[in-house]
Amino acid sequence: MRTKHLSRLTLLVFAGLLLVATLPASAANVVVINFDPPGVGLNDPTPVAPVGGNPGTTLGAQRGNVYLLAAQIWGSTLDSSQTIFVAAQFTPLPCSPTGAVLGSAGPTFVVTDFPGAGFPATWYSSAQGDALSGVDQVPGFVDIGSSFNSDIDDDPNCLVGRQWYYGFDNNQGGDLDFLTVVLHEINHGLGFLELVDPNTGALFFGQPDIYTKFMLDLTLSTTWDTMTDAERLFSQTNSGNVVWNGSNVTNQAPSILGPRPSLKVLQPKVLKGSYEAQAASFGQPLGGGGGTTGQIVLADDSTGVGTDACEPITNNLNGKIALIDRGGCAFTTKVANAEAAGAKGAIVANNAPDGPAPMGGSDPSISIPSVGITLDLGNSIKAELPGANAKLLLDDDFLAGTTQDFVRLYTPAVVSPGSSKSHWDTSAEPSLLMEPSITPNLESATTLDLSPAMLQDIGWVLLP
Amino acid sequence: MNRRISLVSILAISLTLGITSFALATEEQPTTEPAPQAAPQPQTTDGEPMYVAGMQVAIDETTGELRPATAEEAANLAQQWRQIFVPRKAAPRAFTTKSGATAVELPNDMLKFSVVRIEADGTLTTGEAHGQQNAREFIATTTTPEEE
Ligand SMILES: [Zn+2]
Repeated sequence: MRTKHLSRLTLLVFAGLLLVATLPASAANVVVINFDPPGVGLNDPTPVAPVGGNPGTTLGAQRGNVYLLAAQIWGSTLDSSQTIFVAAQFTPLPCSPTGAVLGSAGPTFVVTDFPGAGFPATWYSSAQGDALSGVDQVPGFVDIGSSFNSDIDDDPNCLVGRQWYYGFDNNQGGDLDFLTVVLHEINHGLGFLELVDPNTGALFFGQPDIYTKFMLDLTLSTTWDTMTDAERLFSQTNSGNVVWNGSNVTNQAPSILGPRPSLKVLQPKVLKGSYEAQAASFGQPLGGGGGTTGQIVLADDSTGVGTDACEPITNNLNGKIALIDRGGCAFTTKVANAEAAGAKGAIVANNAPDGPAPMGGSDPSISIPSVGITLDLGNSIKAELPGANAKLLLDDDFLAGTTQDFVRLYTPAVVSPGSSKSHWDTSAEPSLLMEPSITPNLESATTLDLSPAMLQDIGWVLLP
Repeated sequence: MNRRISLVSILAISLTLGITSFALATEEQPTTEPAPQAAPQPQTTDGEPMYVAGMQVAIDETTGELRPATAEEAANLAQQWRQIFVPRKAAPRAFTTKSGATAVELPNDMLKFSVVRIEADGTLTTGEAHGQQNAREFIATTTTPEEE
């Protein structure tokens, strides 16, 4: 069915004006307007082979087809009598051999105090204002602007060795999945966006936006719309404690999110409990109920900082779980050294008070599981050695990416302008469409995971 | 004087084509509420998303009907959208819409800029930046996240 409608679509694109598949009668009509001049961007005539279910045979047609699929996915999710206009453009944007701006997007206008608004004195995206009021609030203008970097395909010195991937099948390999990026950016344009100034904490034009009404700080026990500027500045780096306070998201989370990567301390009694941990991006994935259990032994490499495990480990770790300090070398080096010394698992304690050690990297030769923990927990465990036993596992008693059953927002300890606040936290597992980074092989991209529930929380009506 | 004329003509084209002026190259702001012209109405039944080849359609100012855009309109429009990296210096301004609501055009530097860089080990780091300057900083930064 998709193939059928897309080929029809492709034909029409070539004709200049075209349309797509049939959606339920109440589906929002999402119109993508191609702003590119003839011969470039969305009109680029360079012949290409169809890829991953995208039947386009020119670069421009493939780009347009992805936009159209994204429009169809969003249009069949939202209920609105008002057409949602999305401006589309491919154009050269800043790029170097190793870095690029992929694109930019957002609502073109925000509106407030329109008939049908859920809250007075509250900013809504143009698209949502239209949907709630049943009237085009800013007629003659698109609702969502978007622009993507054509040089990623066109300039061999831009992001060397990487291209946009225009398939629909999430099979991008090392390339950049355009469908995921477009779905994500349109989501911002629909209202997954807060407008608070990251430097001052000030509200936009002195009043809250609808998103801030659902940003709850569990430390301050208040939402962002009612905070002072100073409280918002505090809250934007209150990692793990800023959550989405919307019932649709909270209720749906258990069916989307998986068990939490954890270190379950079994002994001594004083430390007994399950602690959130960061699963490593390498080595054996954490198991469920069984997990990996063993006695914790502090690693010693007898060189410099002995507990950093940056050199071959000299104490006996056979069948043990190695406890290692962060710092001095890659996480993969530490865990590989622990494995070589016979450890069945490894724990890396952070060396700074900013959450669990992040445990990134890749090394296919590593086969044991490992996790990162906080500086505090590391110190507590060290104080109890020997005599500590623990299990590395995915703990069914907790949902990944949540605090007190609320889904976390991304508020890292060091503010990341543009990424902080208007995304889910990166501790969500499996990865979500609205995390700040594009996750390779994001399975949930086309199902939109928690995004429809989030839009429902702020007042959008969803199709059944 | 010339500049003023050119601004007016760019705005007119923008309105004619039923698009936002959010990427206008100039730093000036519209001084009146956007004219209440209809966005291009897709010639399709309800519920069907549609792709408008923007450079080929415009709403005719006199007839109100869709018509092909002129080459000049097309060129001007393309030029505007290439300026997305030019931040406006003028502050955004609130205006009253025809239906009595209040609206503000979001400035370019409040858009989400999606960014990526290739790390020393070949892995990709993606993220989002707040505005143009922050985007440039992100892609110029070199880190190796798996190292400490
Ligand atoms: Zn984003």
